[in-house]
Amino acid sequence: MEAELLRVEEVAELGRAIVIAPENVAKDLREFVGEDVVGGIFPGVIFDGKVYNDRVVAVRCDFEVYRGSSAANAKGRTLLTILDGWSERAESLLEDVYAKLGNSVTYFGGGAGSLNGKIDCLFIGKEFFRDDAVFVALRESFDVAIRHGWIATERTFFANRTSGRKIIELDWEPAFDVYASTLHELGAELRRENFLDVAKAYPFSITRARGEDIVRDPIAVEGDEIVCAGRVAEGSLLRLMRGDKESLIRAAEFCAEELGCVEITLDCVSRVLYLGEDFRREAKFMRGSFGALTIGEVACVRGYPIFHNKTVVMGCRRTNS
Amino acid sequence: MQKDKLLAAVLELEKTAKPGAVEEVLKTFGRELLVLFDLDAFIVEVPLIELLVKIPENASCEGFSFEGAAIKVTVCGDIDGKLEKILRDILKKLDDVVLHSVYYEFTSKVFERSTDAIFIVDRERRVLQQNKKAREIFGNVEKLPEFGSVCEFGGKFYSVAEYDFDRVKAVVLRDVTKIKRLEEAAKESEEMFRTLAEATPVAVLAYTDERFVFANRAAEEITGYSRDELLSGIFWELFPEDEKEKVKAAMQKRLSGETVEPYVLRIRRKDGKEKIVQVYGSTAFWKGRRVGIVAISDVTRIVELEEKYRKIVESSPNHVAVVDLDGRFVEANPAMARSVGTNPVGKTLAELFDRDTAEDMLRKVREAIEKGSIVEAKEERDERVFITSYIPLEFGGVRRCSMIARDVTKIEEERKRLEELTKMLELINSILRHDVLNALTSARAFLEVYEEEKDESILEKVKAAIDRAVSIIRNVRSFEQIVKRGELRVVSVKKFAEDVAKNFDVPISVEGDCEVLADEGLRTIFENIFQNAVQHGETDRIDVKIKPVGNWCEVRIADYGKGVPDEIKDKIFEEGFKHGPRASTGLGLYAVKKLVERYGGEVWVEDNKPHGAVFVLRLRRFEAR
Repeated sequence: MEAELLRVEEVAELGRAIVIAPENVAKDLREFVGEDVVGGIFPGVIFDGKVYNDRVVAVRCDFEVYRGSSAANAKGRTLLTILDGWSERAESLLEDVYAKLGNSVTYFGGGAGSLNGKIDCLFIGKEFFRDDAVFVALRESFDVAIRHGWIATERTFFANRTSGRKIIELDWEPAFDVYASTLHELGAELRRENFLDVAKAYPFSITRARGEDIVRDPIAVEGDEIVCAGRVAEGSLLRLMRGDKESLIRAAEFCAEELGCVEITLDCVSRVLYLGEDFRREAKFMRGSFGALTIGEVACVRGYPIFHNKTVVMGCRRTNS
Repeated sequence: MQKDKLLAAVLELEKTAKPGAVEEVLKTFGRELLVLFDLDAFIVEVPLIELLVKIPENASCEGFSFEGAAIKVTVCGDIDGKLEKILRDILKKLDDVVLHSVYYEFTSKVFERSTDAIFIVDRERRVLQQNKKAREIFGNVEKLPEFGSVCEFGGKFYSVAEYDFDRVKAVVLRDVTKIKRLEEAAKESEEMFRTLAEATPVAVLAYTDERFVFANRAAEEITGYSRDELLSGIFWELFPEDEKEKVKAAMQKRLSGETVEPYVLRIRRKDGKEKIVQVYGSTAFWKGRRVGIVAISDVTRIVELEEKYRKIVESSPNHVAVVDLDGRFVEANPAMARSVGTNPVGKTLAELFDRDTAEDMLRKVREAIEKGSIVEAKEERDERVFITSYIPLEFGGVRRCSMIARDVTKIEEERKRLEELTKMLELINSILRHDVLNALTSARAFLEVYEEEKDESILEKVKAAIDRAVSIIRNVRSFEQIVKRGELRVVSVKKFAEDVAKNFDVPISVEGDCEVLADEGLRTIFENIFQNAVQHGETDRIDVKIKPVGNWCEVRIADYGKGVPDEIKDKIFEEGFKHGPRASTGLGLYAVKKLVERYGGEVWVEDNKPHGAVFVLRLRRFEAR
């Protein structure tokens, strides 16, 4: 597996490769991409501990590519999972593939797309598309680590009415009102106009008995409904989380230490937004790796594959694979 | 596990265990279980609906297991004792949910898809819910009226069943229109059967398990038992001991679904008398049971008559037989068997008669059958005469022909004899009138000559003529008597010729003799030929020569008169033929011919040389017979 940082026009010279591209070059990419190239367009790309918005990462390796649920027939040890981060269907496709393959493969990847809205963020050859998933089957086995580092507050909500990724009511009240009111108590003034700026620091989490809670990132408001970057089951007990830069950075450190080496990094774009300048401190744990800023993350060696939000995912090839 | 996280996870998981489509409930629960408790696989089986859900689908592991009333669950992953307890509690709830969901699914499907109209109503019969069928039939109903056990709506009938569930009731209306129509039809059929059975003169009985369950009036009459007696258990009493096996076999065969051909049976009436009956039977379902139904007709008289006529036919001298369309004998009486020398049953006409006869008979058989009417024919075979009646028969669609042949040989012979006799008597009558008249006319002529000439010798001629007339009358009388008896006897030809010759004045010589079968008519033959020679030929003498020629006796009577012209030789023997100025009645030679034929002989005339005629008689010699 060999990754390199290229200018977008250099993609034209690529043979068979996986390409991770920032949304800024999306238009040009269509011009240069060849038939043997697959990949996704993300808010940004990571290469050797730095974020790029004008370069692409190209990875040359032995792989097979599958679109959508056809990955249920995939052969390989790792499924590099590139989902449309805005698509609820993408989550379902991941679950469909898992239903067939179970834990015979490692699921490892994240959501592509633009923070500005839905785009054709997936491509196989010259075909660009959205609302789907691209699974790249790798022969190598990967060890993966995932952490979020967000801290639970004492505030909990009961998501009594939800619909997919939308929270309609919290505690039997309009979701936005309850959320805004709670943040107000915490000193943050949430309005529809500044929703993403404020909400990025106050995600929800779905409580798990074991393992890290599942973070749900509120990324938009539609009327009184809050749209998250992942599905929220009706009846979920949601805990309000708060950000702590140190904690977030420690999460990345923890992942890097757990793996021992970092070859691929997928870091939630909203973490980057939240960390701001401090992202450089987190990024140092990503040196030597390539990856993307994502809208949702996937990392699953065993158990059910969860579409996470606001996490950092790192992977490293197993030495004996 | 942190307590608050655990509680939250348990709470969330329990919330997913809610009634719904069972497969979806289990998939949602399984997914949440694996996510919230970070487990590896969830396998659940619902035997009640043969459902198996595996997350992931290729899961195969041994882990924590739970078996409830509706589900069998295996969960794999890192499960310690505490988690086991938690899982057990949650899965119990899931089990309840699934159980209820299964039954809910069952009942909702049954409710909604039922072909019965179902209403759920409150105590005031306000409709709380109604299924698809109810909506289709009755539309949206707000309140149900009180029903009887059957209600009619839109020309259809519905049975009504109401089930009480404390505060609500389920009212189920089932379309029983077809059943009701069938019931009505069945009722009508039964009524019709009873009416028919009562009206028919044939006894009708229905039975099952060796008991009569139905008997009509005719059954009472034929058995002598009342209907109540018949229905109260009288069964085997009806049959003489030696007929019971026959009855049992027929009943067994009939009730096992086989066809029993009609059969004849003796039954014993209540008064002990026996009747011979013909039994026709079948089976039917009646009031939910398979019953045997028999129609019994009293054939006692028929059987007796049949026996009587059978004896008549068997003892009849007539040939009686029944043949089929191919001319094959089906039945034949002993007379027929005797006539063909064998029992003809099974044989064809062609095998028993010569080809022409067989073909002729078969043609008549078919003609009678096709026409459907009797064909009568007179048939001669083996030197005998038969009058045969071909009578078409049809039994049960099978067409046959009865042949009754009467041997009428003797009658026919007698008829022929009478015919001949009649003709002969007519001839005798003519002869009498002709010959006597001739004699008397001669006598009168002689008397007239005598009155003119007073010649005494003429009186002798008058006397001779009168004597001839008397002789003719006398002879004819005896001839008449003999003819009436119709018997021929052996006579000497010469003797008759000589006797007749005595009555003629011209010399008549007679030579030779032979014996023939004849009667007094032979005398008439000679008289007529002699008279013809004298009167018409005006001969002066006659020579009679008699001699046997083979089986014949040839008699040549020659005169020397005018002779018979060739042109009338063939006509002179015809009845009433007259020729010449001295012609008389024209019957003399006709009588000769008829008498000769009666004796089986023949007569003709030849020319004599140098003139005159020779009458030749050929009569059968007695010796030749």
